[in-house]
Amino acid sequence: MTRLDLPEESASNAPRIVISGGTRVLVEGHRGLLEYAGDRIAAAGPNCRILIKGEGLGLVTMDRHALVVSGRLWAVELE
Amino acid sequence: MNWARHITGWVTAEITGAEPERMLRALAERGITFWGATPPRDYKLTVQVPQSAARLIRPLAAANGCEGIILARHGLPAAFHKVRHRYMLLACIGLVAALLYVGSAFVWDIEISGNETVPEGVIRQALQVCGVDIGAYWPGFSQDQIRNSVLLRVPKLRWMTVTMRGSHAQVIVRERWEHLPVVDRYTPIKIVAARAGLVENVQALHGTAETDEYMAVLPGQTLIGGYMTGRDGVIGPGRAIGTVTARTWYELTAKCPVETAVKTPSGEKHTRWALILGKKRINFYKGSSICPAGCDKIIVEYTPRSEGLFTLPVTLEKTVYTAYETKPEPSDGREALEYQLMERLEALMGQDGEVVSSVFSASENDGALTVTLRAECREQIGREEPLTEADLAEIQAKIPKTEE
Repeated sequence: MTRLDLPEESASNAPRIVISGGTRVLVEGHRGLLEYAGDRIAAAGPNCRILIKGEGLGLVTMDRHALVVSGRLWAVELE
Repeated sequence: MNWARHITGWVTAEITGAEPERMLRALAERGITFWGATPPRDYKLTVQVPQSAARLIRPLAAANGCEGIILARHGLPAAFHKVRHRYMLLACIGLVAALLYVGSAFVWDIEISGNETVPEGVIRQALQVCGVDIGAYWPGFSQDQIRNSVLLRVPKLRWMTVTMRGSHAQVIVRERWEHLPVVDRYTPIKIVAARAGLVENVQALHGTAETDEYMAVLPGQTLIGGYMTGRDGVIGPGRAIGTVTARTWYELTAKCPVETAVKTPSGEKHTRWALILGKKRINFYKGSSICPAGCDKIIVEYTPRSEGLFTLPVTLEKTVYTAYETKPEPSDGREALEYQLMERLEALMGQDGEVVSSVFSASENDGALTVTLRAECREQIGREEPLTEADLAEIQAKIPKTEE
């Protein structure tokens, strides 16, 4: 993939996380919701656990492939 | 996105259980998109799902050890569900929809744009002859036939098109360009003074200057002669080209009454209503609609329409008559007269002129205010004038005779 100069996530099943302005996170390629609270939201990734920490967090929308979280973000951790 | 949700509808569901977030995971695994999920509190959360997934909420919640109930239904299906037994309302909605559908095949509004010198009334009249009128059935229009017919009737137009948007006919026209006058460089012309003045600068590009700086000239006096001068004297007649800048003086006056009648509302108001159906007018009042003396008339029209979508042939017209009394009050017309005089001066001078100095004076006499403007200006005073027979004879006389 590196030789072809293509983005890593286009062929592998790696999750893609996009943080917009510290108030919104888009997670693509998740494997389900693990935890949901106002200060932390956890989603399962292919080989990891995606933990979003913050304040007043809310699940804006979610489907089989992607989820959007909004709120005041403190950290996004991959465990 | 939101309008699509409103059309298909959605529900707000409440999930209660030990781990209500498991329900969210189950929804996602099932491919059901959800939104607006609140964080669990007191073992409860609310989530919004599409109307189509509403029937899955209860069994899916039960499968995940929770209880799911529908709290509210939203969107168009829910609105219809609420009024499903109100047959008259549904019949009215259906009737309006049918009227809109049928009415959209007829022209109820004509908008003309792109005309600059041709009056809108002339174009409307030509369109009317071609069948494009209020109430016309527009699917029967032939674009080429309308265009050809209107262009033949209004020769000042070079192109037009009629675009239908629902019941709204948008007519776009383009006018013919006026041909620029062809400059004749061969007819003998002289340049004379358009007004009296003191010459400041003479630029004779062609022809012979007959005036010089600091010379006073009178209107009609030749400034640049329509003949050419060579080393041996006059060669022959020609076209004079050039500019002559001079200082000019103006005295302009304007009058207005010292007192003017000012309207004061007397507080009496009268409202009349009328309904316009297509071309028919139904007055809800008796007598004429002519405004009686001492009244202001304001007309407001209410037409149900959605821009670019539909226009109904129904207009409710409200006419408000407001009675007023006139009282003579001192006029403050001096400023207006000064402005008017300055505009007149600028029009007289043309674009090239400039005002060097100006002074206003005012006087009152026999109930009239007279304002006088005295101005000194700098402007181009040369004006082209064809050579007369006498001019040509004079030029011929100046040409030296050659000996054979």
